[in-house]
Amino acid sequence: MSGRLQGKVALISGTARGQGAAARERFVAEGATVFGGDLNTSTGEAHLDVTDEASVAAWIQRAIDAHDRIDILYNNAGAVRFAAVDDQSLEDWRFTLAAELDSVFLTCKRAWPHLKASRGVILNVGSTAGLTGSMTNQRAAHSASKGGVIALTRQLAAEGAPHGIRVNSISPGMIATPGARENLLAPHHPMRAIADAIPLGRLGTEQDVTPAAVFLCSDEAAYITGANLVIDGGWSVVLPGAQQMKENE
Amino acid sequence: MSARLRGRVIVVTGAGRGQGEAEVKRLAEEGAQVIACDLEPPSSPGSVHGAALDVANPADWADLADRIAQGFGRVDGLINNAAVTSRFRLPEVSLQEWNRVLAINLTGPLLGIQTLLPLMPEGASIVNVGSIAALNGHYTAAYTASKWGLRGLTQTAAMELGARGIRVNAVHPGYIDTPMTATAPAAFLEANLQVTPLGRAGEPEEVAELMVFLMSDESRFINGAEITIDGGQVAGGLATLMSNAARGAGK
Repeated sequence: MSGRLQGKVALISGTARGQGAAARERFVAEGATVFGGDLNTSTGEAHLDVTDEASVAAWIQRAIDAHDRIDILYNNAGAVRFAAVDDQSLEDWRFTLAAELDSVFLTCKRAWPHLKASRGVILNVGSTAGLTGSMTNQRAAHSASKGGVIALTRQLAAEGAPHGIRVNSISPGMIATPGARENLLAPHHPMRAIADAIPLGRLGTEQDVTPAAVFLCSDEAAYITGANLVIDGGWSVVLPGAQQMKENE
Repeated sequence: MSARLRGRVIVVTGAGRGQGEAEVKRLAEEGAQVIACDLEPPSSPGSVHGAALDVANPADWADLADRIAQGFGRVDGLINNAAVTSRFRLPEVSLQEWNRVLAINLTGPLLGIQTLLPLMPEGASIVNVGSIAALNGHYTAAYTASKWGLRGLTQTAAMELGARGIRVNAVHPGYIDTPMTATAPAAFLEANLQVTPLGRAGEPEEVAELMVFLMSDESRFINGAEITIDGGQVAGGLATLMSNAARGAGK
């Protein structure tokens, strides 16, 4: 076993299923001690509501009580409500911003003193939604929150550097997680066809994302901070239709 | 020893020193067969195979491809690392100098991709080494233009080669401690450190770790990405300068 995260204490939010569960498994395999958290505690995760500051504070404290330190904070948890801009209620807008952006602020804020002590690392999850607009998915709140996460990452990289804290984001494209299968990849949703527009010709899987998380959270990435690593098979670099034009030549 | 690149055949240009040399060493440690190319062929310890290559010369690339085809039968990775710096200001850069820099920094990677593509199977990975000078304006006109051009080449290649299952990404280093950057005036390093949040130059070995990741299957869904390795300079360099100035003023 290579142990690229040997001896590190990693906090990962949203570990009950999907990307978070895959990350937990991979981080443990690389030698990390993982302290997970989720709203869903049925699989034995510590309770965590990332939109509630008291819940976040309690989660951080439980991790410190158990492991004395935090080396890695991986802000994986999130939740989203999609709707056309004129159909979206303010409540649903706020739900999305709270789950995807407030959440990152709260965990970073509460973990910050411990990350200063350990000269630790934060990994946030942006999205190609934070970089491009979409004609197949009506996602104003999601785009705004993920653009916010990418900007917040850059700012925290600047604020964290004097303390030796590195802060980066990964921005997945279309990953076939359980959450995506329930909405964007459900039958009849136009997003189901987007694999054709991805240069690599397929959707991503959780296993396409976790190795990037391991790399950025490891000491191998010691000079990388403020970066946003896009994991989308090339989706966001092509103009809509460019791939089809090439194939029709 | 881990072997994240076991059995892969990887070509590195500009491999004789600095960043390229460090990359060759790490790739070989992870189990790759490395074709280390430079104007003067680098030494060939173990699984490293030195080769003479002028990246601006199509005939050199054709010779290299022939030898790799005979010796290995395929290319799983290409790191277009070779580059020259050029510090002429816009009014002073000669056409000859402009053409020289573009030939090495931009045409070289194009020739490498075109020539080695027939040897690349599905799953192959190409990395073009850009620069943070490709992400904003920079005072070195020819160098900056060549690196911006390389970004465009990277994104087009990511689109066109993606259908073959070949990935193409760009890495943008900030100030890395190499023989190339050592030729800059000392004030250039000092100014760089003032706008680098981590407050230090990067090491070639740190860039090499990123190359291992991008050459491996760990990055198999990463295509067309632009990855900064700059100590935070692009993300927060200006703010760092202002923050430190304010601190110096007692704020």
